[in-house]
Amino acid sequence: MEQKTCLFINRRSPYGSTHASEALEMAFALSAFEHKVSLVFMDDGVLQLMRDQQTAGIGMKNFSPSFKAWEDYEIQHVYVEQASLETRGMQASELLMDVEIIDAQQLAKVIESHQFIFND
Amino acid sequence: MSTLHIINTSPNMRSALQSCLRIIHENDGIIFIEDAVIAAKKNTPAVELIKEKILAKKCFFLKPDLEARGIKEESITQGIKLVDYNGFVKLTTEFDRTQTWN
Repeated sequence: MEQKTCLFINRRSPYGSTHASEALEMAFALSAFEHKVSLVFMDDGVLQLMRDQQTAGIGMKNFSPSFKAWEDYEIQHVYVEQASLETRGMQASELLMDVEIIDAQQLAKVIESHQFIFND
Repeated sequence: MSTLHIINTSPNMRSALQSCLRIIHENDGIIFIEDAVIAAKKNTPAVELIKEKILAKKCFFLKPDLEARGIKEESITQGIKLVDYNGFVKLTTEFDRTQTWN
């Protein structure tokens, strides 16, 4: 199978729907099939990377620790859109791991450079 | 007659909050659940919209949904009342009826 470059654009908050966790599983699966996969978090998607998610109270599994294993899954880059953080009153220090924070112009170039774009 | 408005979608992605506020009465309350709880964070546009309801002590947020999203008490706008599931049930009895916006 020919290798492709795939970009997952995550725009939804976690837990209100299952889109976020399912998109992540799909991204890891594509990476396991040797495609070059990167992740983008923008709009409410930036919330998926908040640290200290305590989900026992809502009876759902906290899937955020999986993000930290991105290198093990051979994900290429994890990008977060800066403006999305700012309009949500979020700081980089509130995120559960180091990410590449980029502006909209840089994000446009990232999107252009990938063959397949998926969203959550 | 008083209504408890239940909003469960993000104010950034859906217009549920804005539409609710267009028709809300003085006696009404609002409770934010599920993805809507992100409106609690300080320094966000949503806070401006619900300022009056916060001052009137008629603005509630479901705490388990905040905790699930890693939103800590220190980063939440002042004056917001947090309730757990039992508190949510109790609130529904304190208003004449409920109306959901998603």
